[in-house]
Amino acid sequence: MATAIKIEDLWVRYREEEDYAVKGLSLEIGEGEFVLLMGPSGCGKTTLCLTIMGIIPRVIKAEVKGSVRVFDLDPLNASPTEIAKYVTIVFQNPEMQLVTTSVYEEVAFPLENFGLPRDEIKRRVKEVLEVVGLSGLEDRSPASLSGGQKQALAIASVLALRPKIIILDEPTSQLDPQGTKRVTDLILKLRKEFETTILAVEHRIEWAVEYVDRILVMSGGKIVLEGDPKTVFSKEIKPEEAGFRPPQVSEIAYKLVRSGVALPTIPISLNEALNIFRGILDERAASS
Amino acid sequence: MSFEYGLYVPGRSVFHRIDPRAKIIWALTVLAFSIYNGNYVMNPIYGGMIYASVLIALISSKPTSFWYKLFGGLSVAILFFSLLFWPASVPLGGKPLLVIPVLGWKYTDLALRLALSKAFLVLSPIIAIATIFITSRPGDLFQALVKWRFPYRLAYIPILALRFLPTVIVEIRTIIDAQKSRALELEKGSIPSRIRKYVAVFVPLMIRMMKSALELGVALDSKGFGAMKTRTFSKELRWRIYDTLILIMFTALYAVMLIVITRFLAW
Repeated sequence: MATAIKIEDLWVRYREEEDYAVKGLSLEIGEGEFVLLMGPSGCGKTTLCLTIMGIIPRVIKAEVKGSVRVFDLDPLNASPTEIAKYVTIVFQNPEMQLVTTSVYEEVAFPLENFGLPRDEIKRRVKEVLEVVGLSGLEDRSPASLSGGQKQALAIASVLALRPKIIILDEPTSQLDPQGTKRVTDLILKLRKEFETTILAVEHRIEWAVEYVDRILVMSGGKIVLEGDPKTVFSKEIKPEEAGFRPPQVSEIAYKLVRSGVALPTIPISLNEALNIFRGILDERAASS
Repeated sequence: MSFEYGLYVPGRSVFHRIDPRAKIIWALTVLAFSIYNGNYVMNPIYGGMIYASVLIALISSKPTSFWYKLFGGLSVAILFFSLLFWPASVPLGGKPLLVIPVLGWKYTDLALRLALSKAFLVLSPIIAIATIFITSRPGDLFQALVKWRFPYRLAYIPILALRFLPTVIVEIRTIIDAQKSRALELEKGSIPSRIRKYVAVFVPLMIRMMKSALELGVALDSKGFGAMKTRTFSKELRWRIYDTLILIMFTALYAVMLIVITRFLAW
């Protein structure tokens, strides 16, 4: 597995701020990995993403120390066009990222900007709209879509360029359960079909916990906890300290452990919890 | 009205099917003939005919009722103010028809002619330009400008403004609702006090828009906007013989009407 993102000893300080927003952070993400970045507000998650994109320091001026590599590219010194071929970001609010007045134009827009031939554009638009499940809505206005569809369109539009890495900034925070499911399915499809590396910044975990390869927990500009979901949630996480809630089933398990129930592992998904709890009940029934 | 597509109202009328470039040339023709009439010929019948032609163009494209109300209101307002103030501000000779007693404003037949011509000079081009926006997808207008060698980075600015029209309307509604729930009474009080109250809507709107502008900039960057000097268009505009014919027809109509009216119906 090739390295998609490699960060070494990164320090970022915004202009006129005394403290660094990111403090000596090192990180490596492999190609095709699905990584979730979690942590309280203001812990430096967004700063980290914007630095990977090169938006810091190119657009938002800040002091940056350390090194960032995206495949063989140095985003801190590359042009936005070069960066767009490797890594792209989809923000929380899809509204501001949809810049045309029809679904078709929205997906064709980046391809047209790169001057691709007409037939290639038509082919890719068709393909991408099928992947995100928006086929048949080509002539609709983005303003008339539902929240989940808008988010899917925002992803589709950057996907058409076939970036190797997609950064999703709280992709589900404004979505209802149906919209969240649409985005989850889309992410799984992207990984399967294009082997896209995905870095998602999130506060909510439930939708992704079963599929994510690795969770990074940030606090105070550093990564304080790292590992697969099972490892990360094996020890009790207190929402008020961590800045995010563990899966609800894990919270129930923490309570059970505290009240003296012996659990083989801390479950992270509903199915896993069901199996564990059923096992315990069966055991008790057998012993009594 | 949601302005989903900016000002564009989807449809299949004749004007919807014309190349946007032909529509722009048509609007410029309307503008040129209106200026010529409004400043030199000053024939209200001719002005009225141009006005009627753009109204027919507008009505045939079946816009939403919003546009009828807007241009109906605008027409009445401009005709009213034009009839009120032009005769008073320009001393002209001619046969007096009416004199306002206290103010001493004289309404002569020449003044009436001037007022009507000037009103049509303003109204016809506005409606013609609006018809372009109502019947053309913003993306097609963008392409028309690029085909005329406008730098595409600049040509996209008005298109973005059209795209964000529905977004801004939603934002304004949200802010108004939020401020009303905090006891801001926008509908009460004198006009100056109502205007002052709208500051409470305008300021949050500007702040939100400025915050969003950064995201928009990054989004455009990550879509490779400005990456190349030229860009392609996946659905290319094609100028057809139909477009040329329509343009010739309108231009001929305006020219013939001008000749006929000035020769035979001179006021």
